[in-house]
Amino acid sequence: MTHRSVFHRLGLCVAAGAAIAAAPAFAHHSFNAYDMSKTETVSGSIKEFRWGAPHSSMVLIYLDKDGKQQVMSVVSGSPLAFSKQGLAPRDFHRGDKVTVTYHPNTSGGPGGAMASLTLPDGKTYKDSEAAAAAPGAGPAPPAGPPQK
Amino acid sequence: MIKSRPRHVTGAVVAGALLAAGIAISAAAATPDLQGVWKLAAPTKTLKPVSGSVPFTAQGRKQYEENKRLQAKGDYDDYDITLSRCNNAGVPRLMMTPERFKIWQRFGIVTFDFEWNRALRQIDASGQPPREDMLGRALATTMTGTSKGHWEGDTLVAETTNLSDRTLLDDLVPHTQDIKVIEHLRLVDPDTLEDRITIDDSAYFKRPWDAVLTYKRQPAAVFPEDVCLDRVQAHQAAFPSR
Amino acid sequence: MMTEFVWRSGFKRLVLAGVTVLALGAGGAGAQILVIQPPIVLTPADTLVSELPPPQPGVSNATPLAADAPMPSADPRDLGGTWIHDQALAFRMQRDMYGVLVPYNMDGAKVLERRVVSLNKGAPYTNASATCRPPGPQWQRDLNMPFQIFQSPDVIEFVFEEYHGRWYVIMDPAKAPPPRQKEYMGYSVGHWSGDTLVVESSGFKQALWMDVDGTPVSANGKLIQRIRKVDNADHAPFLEIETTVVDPTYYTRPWTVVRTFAWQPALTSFSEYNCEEQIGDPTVDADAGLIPEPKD
Repeated sequence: MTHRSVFHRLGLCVAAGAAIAAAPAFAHHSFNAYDMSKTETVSGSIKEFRWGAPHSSMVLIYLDKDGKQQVMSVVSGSPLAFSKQGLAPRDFHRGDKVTVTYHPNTSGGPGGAMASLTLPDGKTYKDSEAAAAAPGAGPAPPAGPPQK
Repeated sequence: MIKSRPRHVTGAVVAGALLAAGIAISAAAATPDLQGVWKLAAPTKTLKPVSGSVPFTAQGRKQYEENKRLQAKGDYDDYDITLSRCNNAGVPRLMMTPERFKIWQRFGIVTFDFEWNRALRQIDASGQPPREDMLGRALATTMTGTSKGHWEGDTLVAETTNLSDRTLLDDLVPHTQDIKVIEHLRLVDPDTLEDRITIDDSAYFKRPWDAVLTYKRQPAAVFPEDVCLDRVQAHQAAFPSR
Repeated sequence: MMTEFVWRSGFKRLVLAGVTVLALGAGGAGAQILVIQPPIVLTPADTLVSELPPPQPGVSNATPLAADAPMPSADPRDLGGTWIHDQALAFRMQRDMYGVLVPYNMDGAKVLERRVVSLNKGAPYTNASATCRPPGPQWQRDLNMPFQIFQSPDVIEFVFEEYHGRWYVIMDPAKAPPPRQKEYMGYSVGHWSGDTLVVESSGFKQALWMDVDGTPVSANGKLIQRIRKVDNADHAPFLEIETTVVDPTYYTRPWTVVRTFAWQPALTSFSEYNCEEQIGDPTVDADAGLIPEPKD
């Protein structure tokens, strides 16, 4: 079972465009590799959740259009981004059935950048950085922690 | 009875001896000196309790048996991602590497510098507040967790928490993310380092249990660059590398 | 861009980005300004790289040193401690330490071009950093993450937070000859020249990306690093490292960049770096979804 997805690009998550260039580069992840004009939905179960900063990635087991079991990676924000919406790493377990909306990889491979996530208990998470980078979004919210 | 001769990071005589041995000098005064190059005296893949067998709870035993079943099938990525993908072996399993590691002490931070995959772990015995955590890293567990230490006489006492449950204690024994690992590190004699490890994880073990690892001092060395991912790609063993 | 003041009898000379400005006379209303700009001749390689889309700007993460922080050793040849590149990361080097264009030949310009284009298309080429391999000494140091230096007469070891990296500078090659197999970080030999540590790095296992955009150095290239500790008694000691790139494969002559690394003992406690969890996943392609780069 192989798939191609672009994540953890260059080991250094760099801000993509002028909109988020002003804040520290290490606080963002780039959206260059994703088609921000499209949003796809997938339901599946969590295989693993790799927490990291500035971003995390979730590996999801899902059924493709032929009913075959596949694996995809969806990139999302840091533990801090999740905690701001009341979610902690403890809330994510292997085998949890989740629904994810995401902006697909430009390469065409399965997976992409998370737009939203819904957990089995109904709790949801919306990736604010992805929302800001999508076309039609307003000015980017201040990204990263407040400056001292 | 073993007579130990405590080494302290103080004084020109000790400094000179360390320089001659090619070992860097810590800036701390009167802190025991565990620095040097170390290697397990008796390589082992199993973390053996000091007495009796591992005191599993029913839940712990169930997960352990599942790991054994997956091991027999060769489904390593389903239970041991250190073996399958070079994931950081974590605490305490890094301490079971059959290869060498160095201990450095500076500004109260004890850094373990492993030959295997250039891995790192640290024990913070500085007494300083933790580094600013702007991205909320401490909200998630990591493979080496957070290790706070202090000195009691000649012994470094360290407590490690916030450990990811994606690691194993050894090649089979599982743990939860609520585990607490306590270590007592000291020089038994100038060339022998002992790490007494206490495992405290009530979901998987009925009571805390101890294991002891013993290391022998090695000559100063430049470690060859070990890139575990290259070995795995070449279908060689990941951990240990030999 | 670096500027350089050279005082000579009677006049001041300022060199800025290859342009020389002379101020003749004692200054004030009587001074005459003469601007000498040598004709800037752009080679076809210069033109090619100059027309690429501009790189991302980096941002400094400099923080002042705590008032009660321990200070470095007074010995100028003792580099031990914790340091960090806290100046804005150069995503693409573009100009050397004198502000002069990096002297690409056409082969080098084309390599940079294809890397920048692939990045901007969202289909970047495979490189060490993205595949959790050691990225070579320059990229490793330049990242805005701390490193510790441990020093003995025979070897100086750098331990980096990012990539859990290591860099060994061999001071006595007889005691640590080149390894049988080439290493990603190359083989680095150092010697003291006054209070400057001069380190030659060569024997790289693979070609290097010097920065995020992929400023190239071939596997046969050589880096010469000049490292000195600077303490101006302003409570802000730093290391200065000049790196000279010697690589006739991609450049018409050697060229040098300079970086400074602030003393920051408070950063000695590192964050864990564990890219292997992701990159080592057996369900993922070995090249992590990146495009293999064409061989030159």
